[in-house]
Amino acid sequence: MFSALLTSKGRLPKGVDVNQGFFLKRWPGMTRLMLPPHAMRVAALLTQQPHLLFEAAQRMGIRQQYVFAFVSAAHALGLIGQQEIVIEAEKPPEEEKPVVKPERKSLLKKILSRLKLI
Amino acid sequence: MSQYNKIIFTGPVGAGKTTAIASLSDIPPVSTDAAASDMTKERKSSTTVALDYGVMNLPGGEKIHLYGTPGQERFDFMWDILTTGGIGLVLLLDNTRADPFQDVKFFTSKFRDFIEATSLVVGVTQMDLSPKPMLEEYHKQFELLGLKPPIFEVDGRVRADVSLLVQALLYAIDPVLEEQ
Repeated sequence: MFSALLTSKGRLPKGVDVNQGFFLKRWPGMTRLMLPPHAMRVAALLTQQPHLLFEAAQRMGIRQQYVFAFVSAAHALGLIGQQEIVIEAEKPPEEEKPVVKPERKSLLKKILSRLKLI
Repeated sequence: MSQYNKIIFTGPVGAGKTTAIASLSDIPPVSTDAAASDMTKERKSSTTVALDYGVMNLPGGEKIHLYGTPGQERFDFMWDILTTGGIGLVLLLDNTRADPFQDVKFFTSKFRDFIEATSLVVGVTQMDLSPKPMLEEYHKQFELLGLKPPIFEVDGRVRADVSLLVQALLYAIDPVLEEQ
């Protein structure tokens, strides 16, 4: 995976369609890989459901190249799938329920910070 | 806020639950060990008979309780009690066991409701002693059960391995989570 990461230089592999959604077929074994920045977040997002890569980067507030780098590396491992995204009419913000309650999200952030000190 | 401050470690006897909790805990973990008397003794000289307990201290005084379930089936009555208020489940599987896929089916069945409500990550231990089954095969087993969790090779003695596993648990709950 690391070789694919280095050679991709943040570019997407040939044959993928950026106008289709990308999803991760399964998580890579991350304890035995050198991980690019934000790899775990990208993996989690693309495992949950397919995303357009630009949308994924925007949603996570990270640079597109980090998403592209992960996708390139995962693609080299045969872990990336693609499907068409059907764009539904946008819901008003007040109808969007948070995935995680705010008070719980705060706690999860603290746990994450604590774990990253290890 | 209702209780939401536990991470549960489960898995068969000898999978490394006690060790993994010890790797993360900020206090010497409390283990309730006794000499193994049943089939367990063939795998270990001592084993946890009630549960393991450790703590992660967070800024601001909050604590995350780390609970390890006892590995033997006869203690499964405790599992429901332990999962109340849980953030998610860490399932450790021992790759040297005769039928680890049976362990997959057993533990996902026992904790299915909790997994559906929260999150699951899987750590496969002892892969240095037994390289097969490979992680790919575990993924297939979980897919048959309708699950797609992170599955990592871990050594419970290595803090970084256990930390990455629990980080994956948190990101599986909320992929856009950022550090505080």
